[in-house]
Amino acid sequence: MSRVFRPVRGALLALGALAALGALSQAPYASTEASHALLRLAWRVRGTPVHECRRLSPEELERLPVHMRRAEDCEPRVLSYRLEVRIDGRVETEQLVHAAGARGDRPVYVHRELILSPGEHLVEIAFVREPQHEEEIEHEAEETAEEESREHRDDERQGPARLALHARLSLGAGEVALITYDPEQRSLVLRGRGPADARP
Amino acid sequence: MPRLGQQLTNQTRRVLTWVDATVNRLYGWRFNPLYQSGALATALLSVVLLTGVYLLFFYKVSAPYDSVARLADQVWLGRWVRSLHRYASDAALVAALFHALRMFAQHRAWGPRVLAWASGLILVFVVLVCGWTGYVMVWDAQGLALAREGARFLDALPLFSEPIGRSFVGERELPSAFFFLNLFLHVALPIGLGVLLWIHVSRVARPVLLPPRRLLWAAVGALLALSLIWPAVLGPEADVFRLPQRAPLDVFYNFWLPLTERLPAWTVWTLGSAFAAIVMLAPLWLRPAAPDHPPASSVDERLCTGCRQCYLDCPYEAIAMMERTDGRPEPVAHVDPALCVSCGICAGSCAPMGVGPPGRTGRDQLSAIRQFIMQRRLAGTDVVVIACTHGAGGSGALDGTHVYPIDCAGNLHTSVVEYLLRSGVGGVLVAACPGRDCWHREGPKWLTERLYHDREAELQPRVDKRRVRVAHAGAAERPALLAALTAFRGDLAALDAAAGEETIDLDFACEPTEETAKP
Repeated sequence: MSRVFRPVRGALLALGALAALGALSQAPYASTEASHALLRLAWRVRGTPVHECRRLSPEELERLPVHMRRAEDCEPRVLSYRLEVRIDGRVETEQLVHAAGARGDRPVYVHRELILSPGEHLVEIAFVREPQHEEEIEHEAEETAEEESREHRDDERQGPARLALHARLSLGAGEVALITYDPEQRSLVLRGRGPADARP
Repeated sequence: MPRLGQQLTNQTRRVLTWVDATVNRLYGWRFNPLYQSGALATALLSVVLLTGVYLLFFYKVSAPYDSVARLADQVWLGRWVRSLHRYASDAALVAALFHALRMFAQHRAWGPRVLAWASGLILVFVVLVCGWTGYVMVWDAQGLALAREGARFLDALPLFSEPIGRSFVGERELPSAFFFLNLFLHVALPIGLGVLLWIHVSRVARPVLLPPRRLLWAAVGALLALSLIWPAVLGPEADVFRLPQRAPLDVFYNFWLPLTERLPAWTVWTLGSAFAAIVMLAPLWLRPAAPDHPPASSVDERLCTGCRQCYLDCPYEAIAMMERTDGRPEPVAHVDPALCVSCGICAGSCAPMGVGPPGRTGRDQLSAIRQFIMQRRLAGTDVVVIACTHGAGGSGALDGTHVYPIDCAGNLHTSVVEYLLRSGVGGVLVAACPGRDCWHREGPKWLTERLYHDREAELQPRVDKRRVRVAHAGAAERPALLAALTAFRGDLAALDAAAGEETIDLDFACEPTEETAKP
């Protein structure tokens, strides 16, 4: 009896294995956040390079080979930005974004993703370059219109001093909105699904 | 060997032998696909390669999804070729993992085999990466999710001047250069696979790269039937502004996707590296302590006739023929201890008994069998079972027979069989492992050749070969071995009865009696 049923059982085993192969080869998958909406922040701004120099002491100079002795040691670096994101008035992200690269001398990249509940949200973003000099900190509050226009001219060679966006979003489940930087408009812009109303 | 590791390998082996036995009952050991997992993996990758060449003609880097969708719409050819490409890749991966599990459970992953183990794991990793590029090529929801996750992992490393993850955020359209690079990788990696496969089998003689023809065609036919009946589904097109909702996911290649989505990239790198290191090094941790390592074979130069048989039979190319130091013209065998796994197959191949691991040469086997016979009272109807310790006969007494254990059926010298029969035992049953399940690759094959097909060192013609039988049974197949033993005993009894009949006077026996003469 067992001999008679052996080919049948063999065929059933093969069928089972094939069915498992077919099912596992295309198992249904949904993103873990598929029931939510997503706000994606992604942009790149050219960094503002600064050289921070200090005078070397006679002892330090003494330790260096003769052909490498220079009065000042200058470390080039790119200024960081402070990113603040508020969703419906609540601070979601507040952090310093440093320039990319092992030596921090590459452009500044922002790439963040924030999970939102589906529906309407007020999004406020501020992306502000860190002050270059102590004087800049003192005068920041008294920025004049002339200084602002000079800043815009600088933006083309360097990164923008300040970017901001206020937007009202309406996102459904699984929808993604993107906030990015438009170098032509020199402002943050909203793309993707659900952008309802945005102003820099 | 650490206790926990020993338990782990023992448990793995127990499960494996049980599964093997179940499949053997259904298909027979010659066509058990689990025994042929390594060869099946290679054969299925060849199917992937062939179907991939066809698909390549239709793929467009400028419109990846549309070109794949057009293929999927070709009812007569494109759809099933694409499905076969997918299913064969999945089956190849499963086969490769099964092969690795068997090697691990049978302690075949350290010592001279460490190169095969390490290269095998790298092969699996390259196959996974190849699969990754293949799914990104399709550029459906699954492809996008894979591309984004891959970019996230790579961006965590200080390799790229610009984060590559930005390419998939929707800031700008994805350049076709990306798909070209991806296609290049998908085509170039199989070339790397070829090199790795060559390294993988470089330390074995006569590598088996294809399963038996019937099994090969059965596997390909089954996958083809699956492709026709249940073609691979094409997911929705990649949309960077939408999160995947019920997209098809290939669990074999992309099982990690749902696991890693919520983890930071560095955690994934740390966990992934730790897992890879554990798998790579596990056999080294679990191997026996150095004093317990089986010793390599050695050659007695005085006995070696330079016949080259051990050199031909060694499954690991550990034996070379060299010039001898005693001035005789013929070459002498030389064993490289770094390549020798101490299988003892060379001992079974050497007619003058001049080679083998210490304590297991032909001469050692003869003195051991003398002791074995002296300790027992063997009758003319007794059957002695010579059992490989890794097979069904390895776990002790067997239905009242005398069991003589050996390390591998291929290690058995035919003189031992002859000696047993000359000592008066009724028959010798050699309990070997199933052919492709031998821990030393070719033990049962060479044993059969030596017993029945006159391969050196052959069983002498003076021995009645009807009293010698080979039974193939895995560790979990004791009932099959017992059945073979019973059948052998029956045959021996018939043989003995027939031998008794030779002494009968047929004329006298057949003369009609009064009763039979009645009309």
